[in-house]
Amino acid sequence: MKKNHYDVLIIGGGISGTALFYELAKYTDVKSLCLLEKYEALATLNSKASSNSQTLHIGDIETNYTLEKATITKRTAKMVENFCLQYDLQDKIMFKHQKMALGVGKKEVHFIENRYEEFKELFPYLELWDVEKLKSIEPKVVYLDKKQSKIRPEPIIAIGTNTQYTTIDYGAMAEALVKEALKATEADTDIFYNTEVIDIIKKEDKIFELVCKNNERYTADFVVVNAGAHSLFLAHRMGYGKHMGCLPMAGSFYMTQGHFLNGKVYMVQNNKLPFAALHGDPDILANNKTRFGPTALMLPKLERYKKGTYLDFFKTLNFDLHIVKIFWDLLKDSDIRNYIFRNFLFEVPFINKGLFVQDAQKIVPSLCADDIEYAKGFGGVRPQVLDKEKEKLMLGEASINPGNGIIFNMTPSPGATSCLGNAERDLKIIVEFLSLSYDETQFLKDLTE
Amino acid sequence: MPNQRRLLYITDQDEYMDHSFIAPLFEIYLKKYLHIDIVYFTEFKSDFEHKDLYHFIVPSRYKNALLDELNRNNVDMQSYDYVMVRNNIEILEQVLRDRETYGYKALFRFSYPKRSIKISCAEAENKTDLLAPVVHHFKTASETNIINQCDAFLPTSRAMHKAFRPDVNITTILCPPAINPRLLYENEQHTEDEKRFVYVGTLDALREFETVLDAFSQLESKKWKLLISTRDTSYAEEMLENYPHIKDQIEICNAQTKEAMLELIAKSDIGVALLPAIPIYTTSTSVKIFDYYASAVPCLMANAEHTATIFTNRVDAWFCNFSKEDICKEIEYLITLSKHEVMKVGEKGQQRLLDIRNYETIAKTIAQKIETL
Repeated sequence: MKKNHYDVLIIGGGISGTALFYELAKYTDVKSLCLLEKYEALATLNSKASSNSQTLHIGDIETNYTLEKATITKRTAKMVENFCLQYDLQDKIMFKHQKMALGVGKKEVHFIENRYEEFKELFPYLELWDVEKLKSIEPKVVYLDKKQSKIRPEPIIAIGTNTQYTTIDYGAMAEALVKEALKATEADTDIFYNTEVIDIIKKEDKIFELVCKNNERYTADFVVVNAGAHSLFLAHRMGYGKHMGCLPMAGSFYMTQGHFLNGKVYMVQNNKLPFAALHGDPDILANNKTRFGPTALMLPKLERYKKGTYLDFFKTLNFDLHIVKIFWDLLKDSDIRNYIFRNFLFEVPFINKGLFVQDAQKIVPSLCADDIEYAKGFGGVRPQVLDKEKEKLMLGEASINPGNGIIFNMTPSPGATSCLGNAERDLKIIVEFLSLSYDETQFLKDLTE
Repeated sequence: MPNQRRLLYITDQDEYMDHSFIAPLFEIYLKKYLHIDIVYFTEFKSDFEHKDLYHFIVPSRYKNALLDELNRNNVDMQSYDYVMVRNNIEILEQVLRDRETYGYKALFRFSYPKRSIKISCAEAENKTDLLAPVVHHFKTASETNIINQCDAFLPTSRAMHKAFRPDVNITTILCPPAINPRLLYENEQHTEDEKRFVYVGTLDALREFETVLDAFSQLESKKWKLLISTRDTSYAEEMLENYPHIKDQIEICNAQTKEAMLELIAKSDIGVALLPAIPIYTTSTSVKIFDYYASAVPCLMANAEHTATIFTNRVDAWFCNFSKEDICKEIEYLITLSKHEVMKVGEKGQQRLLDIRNYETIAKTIAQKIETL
């Protein structure tokens, strides 16, 4: 074996990269496996619990999911749950909270009632909660005033549950995945931190050479890039995925002073928007204080709260007339235009809180600006993919697989929930490409039953 | 059936809407003659959904590029012989643009004059926009030009065609509301002494339901009850505040489903379908009339040309002018009728609809006409 050569090399130590690392280590006979992480630890970017909503997106209360999509996410969410239960991580990194999708106004109420009927077979634990029920389980969504004497005028209804695992610290899960992977395998495994891959070269002998910023070089027979927005950056460097561009959307949060909501409250999603609707969640890192958000702000950089990546953004945006057309189409829709403009204002000091609270009052009508603070250091970047051929903003995840031993994944929400499912898909491709053995029976038994 | 001609029906409606009209005609009866796929829209779901064998649910953000979205999701537009669009002119334009490419016939179904209703509603609420009628005039002309490029026009009634799209001059196939012969309900015949009236449907300024309430408030008899089922319960409650002395005799309900609504109707004696004599209401038969007669509940309806072509006054329905005096007089008369007399009128009305206005026969006529295009 050549020095620094591996069967499989994974770039990115977030939840997606570590999930693949775990599955390859535990369920295949891969001989050598390496994980390269740009920063000093695993999951320092979007997988970190302060960067996302810590939500297991099962598809039950995600109102923009079709039944077909919910069937898929239910399975992948179950895999995450099973992993945590297998290693006794419940109530350590995985928690149960009450959760609901709240419909406000006649139109949304009608939608929620019908959606409940359509989805109850797939999610038999779901309940339909009317105003009377909500008064007892989540009173702040019902009343107009803090004294809880006056009920909000619009009709409301919710679908929800309080029996399911809902909340995950994905940063801690990334660490657990690596820990259990190392225990489970006899393969040569390496994890290198502070190792930023700046280029990938396809060599003539069909192996890939990875050039790192610290002048290290690694080679591998198969490479999977799970590096958020940088996945597309590296794909473009190799000439792949040129029909795609990346639009990094930063999400910020506002935190209440104390415990505010009893569980997760999601709004009905506007299908024109690729980002999660505003919601309120108990934050497991902040003593269950309620976090409202996320907002959505286009940032000209690929990583939040890290230096640089401005130039990477422009390269990854892959700007041309197709991108102009996509932006034009987005901005000519008044709903999206207003949404973008309002969300920009949510980041402007002095006026941000007052404006944000108006939106959040749809969840808690009695919420006032004094109840919340801008959550500094919270929030991440969601790499939304732009499809230049179709001139469309793509919703959800994207993967580029040229079929020659390299895969590039971009996994905005629900990427964390889908981490083990996406890893399963990549694992199968790797196993076939490298002619590895795969203990699928055990895999399915552990993670899907 | 393998050799059936294929029709794609594109509605402008939401997937979860109570498709009371579409359901029986397009989902059941026309399917005997044509293979029918239906496109609905969703404002909430993000992805295209092939819901079952015959339904496509398209996110509303793709309304402006519908055919592209259908293509992207492997809906073979070339496989359709007919594409019918309901009400939406922007979608019709897309369908006409690609007609030659895919080789289908384009049909336009005009179920109701949406913009005219909006303008009339604004007028009724004294929120008239002076420009609105002018814009409406030019838009109607431009839309008429587009509709005239179709292979057929399917208005709800001839009167509606004449009143709202008079210059559409292509092949016309009437597509009226009707009774569903497979869904008839027993009238439950309540045992209370009073006459129980029922009104189901929207309440707004345009419908001037105050006129009906004025009539009820003038009744000398107290042997009546009025059930109102509407989604606009707060509007109804507000309106009732002005009628404190009859408030106790009126019950407001919000039947959430078609089944719940029909159940409510079946517990009543007489349906109320009294609407002002304006073209929006006089050019077609209100769908609620068919709902009442589905339970053999006879109907007190506004005197209009189109109703007279179906029903006969005091035989299988009761007609009355839309004025509080006339309504009051007619209700006084109805209160004097015996239960048996009322029941007979209901049964005759139901039979009349089954004879001349049922979806089974209408579907056959429509299918035959479509196939000759």
